[in-house]
Amino acid sequence: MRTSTFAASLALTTALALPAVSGAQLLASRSGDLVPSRLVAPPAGPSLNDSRDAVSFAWPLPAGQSIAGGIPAVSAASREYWLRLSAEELVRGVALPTTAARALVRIHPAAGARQGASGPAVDPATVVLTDRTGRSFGSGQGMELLVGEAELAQAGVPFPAGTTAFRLSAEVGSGLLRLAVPDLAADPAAPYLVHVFEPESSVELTVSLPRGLYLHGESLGLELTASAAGKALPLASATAFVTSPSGRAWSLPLSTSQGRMRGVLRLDAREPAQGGLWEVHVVGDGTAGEAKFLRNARAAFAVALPSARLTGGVKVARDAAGLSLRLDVETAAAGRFEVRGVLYGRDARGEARPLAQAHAAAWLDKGPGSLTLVVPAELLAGSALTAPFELRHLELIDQGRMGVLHRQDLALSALTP
Amino acid sequence: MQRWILSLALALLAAGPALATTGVAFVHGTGQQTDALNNYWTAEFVSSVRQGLPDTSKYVVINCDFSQYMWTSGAAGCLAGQLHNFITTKGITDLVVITHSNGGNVMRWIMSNPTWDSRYPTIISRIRWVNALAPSSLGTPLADAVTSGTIFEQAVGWLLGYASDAVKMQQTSWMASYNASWLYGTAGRPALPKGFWDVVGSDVETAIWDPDSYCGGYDLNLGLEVTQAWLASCSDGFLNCTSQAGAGTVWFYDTSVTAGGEPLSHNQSRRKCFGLDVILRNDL
Repeated sequence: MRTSTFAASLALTTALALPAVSGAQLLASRSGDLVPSRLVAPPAGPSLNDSRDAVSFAWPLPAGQSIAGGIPAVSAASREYWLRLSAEELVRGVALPTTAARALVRIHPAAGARQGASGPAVDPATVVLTDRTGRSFGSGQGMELLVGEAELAQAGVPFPAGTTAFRLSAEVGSGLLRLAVPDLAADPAAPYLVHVFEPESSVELTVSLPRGLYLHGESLGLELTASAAGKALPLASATAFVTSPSGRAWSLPLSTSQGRMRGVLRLDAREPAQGGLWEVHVVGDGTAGEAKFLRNARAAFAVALPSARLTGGVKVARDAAGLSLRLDVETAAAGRFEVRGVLYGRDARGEARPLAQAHAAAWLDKGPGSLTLVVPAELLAGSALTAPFELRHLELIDQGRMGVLHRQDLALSALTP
Repeated sequence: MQRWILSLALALLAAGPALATTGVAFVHGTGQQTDALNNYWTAEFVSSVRQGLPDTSKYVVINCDFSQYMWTSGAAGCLAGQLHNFITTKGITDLVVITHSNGGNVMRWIMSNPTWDSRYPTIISRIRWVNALAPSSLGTPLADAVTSGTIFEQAVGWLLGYASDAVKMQQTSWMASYNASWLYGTAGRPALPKGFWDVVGSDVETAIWDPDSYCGGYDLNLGLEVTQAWLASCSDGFLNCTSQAGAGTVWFYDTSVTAGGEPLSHNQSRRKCFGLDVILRNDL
């Protein structure tokens, strides 16, 4: 208790000694920042957060904290693929390309089948595997860790109903294998999914995005590469498509340049708020040495509809309550919005270090408004860091649509309130 | 070391005239719970842990729907409601939160987004720290596997997908996105307002002759041994160690402190196994 009183006194003394400052402007955005160029009114629909309460909160950050700038790139590497097959195809047998021994195979009836009735679970004892030399394995031969739905359910992992899984034993080897379920009693059109994961393979398909956050109307740039133990492999063919949280899908044409496959898609985020993320899905195949490979990969990213923007005006004030930064906002529609940022101060050597993380949210009507970040006096007093302050990692967020609308690494500098 | 210094400081504060009122909350993982005490944690585990409280009645076992996305009213909203009710009705000023698995993500949502809900700041202010048992901070390849291939259904509106929103959310690339924008405490991101201490389970042991394999249920551990095939060599059968250690600060890896140096499977890290309950009790 004595500590709190002391801190408050210090803050008051400091505040009285300093003049209030107003009328600052956000710094110009830099490369790597996310800044909307225009507002777009969101389509009608329920809000993910319709609270009318104005809430602000701040907390101290460790002085040694290192906060990364920019928007992180996205990269997802895959050593797996899946095939959607009919029961008839499973009965006849299908080719399973593998690039390493001991692949994990999972088979299950596809739920929500549109083209036929759902089939039964596959009895693993009825699976017949054929290795690349033509040798056949049946009655559970050539398989390890053979499990059904019950065993998988014990792990608490919600695998689809009717899932059968097993690992190919080492004696089956790798290469172009064949899997058949000749005694499968199912509607010939009943769909099944066969998922193959090769944990011991070095062959990867990697999908890369330069960043993981986008605004409506921006272009998504995708790059697709294949490699084995870090060495590039040519892709014989590949396809890609993008899905939105509501389930809309777009084909993403790919072209090859300098040995890499790339694609570009203009993003359309005009859909009701859903939660969830966008995804890019790719499938590619090629040859690694003598082995054919097949890979599916997915990567998640976020796209926001610019329903509001920071107009640049900032009112800076420091009083007994602390340091406040009132940021001007313009909205395209009423909603709940938040600003957040990191206040940096100077250490004894004059180096900028994180001092506090501050958030403020409120319901804003359509048109001009403002949100005020507050760093309480006791928090400033409890820090060894001093002015001049900087506001970094500034974000404007639409809480009703879970969208990051603005991200700026350095928003205000040389604050000496 | 940092954690022990904090403990010492809190002990010194508690010795002062303004005594804190300590409480503990148990926050379950993925799924909808209506009786998490018996169906998720077991009464013997909760009873043992709360013996470390000055007043053993000051505990709450959370029952929410964590099959939903972490931010929804049924998940974080429900958790906030039950925590807020607990701390205000019981006068808790020093709250230790024990989470398991995806419960750590929901708790991290509250601590990372304090303005989302007007109850969040009060809750955060009362938290001493969070003990995150096997948190799925970076997601799990098993969530990737469960959702693989479902795009054909999802492309017509996610209506026919197999997985719950919570499972979709715990795909590795989804958690990477949420960690980069909505959640704090991972590498390169601002620190959480309160400590988030990870307990990492590193293996699953299922030998029919080994009584340790039966702690928490032999069949459950057997299932996790199977799912380990999808994971890295260091995993608890559901999560890679890297995911469990991906946010906050590692408190300990199982084998470094458990009785007999036994690993904690994902099932055992919420049960009275190998002295985990005593470690958590002594932390209160």
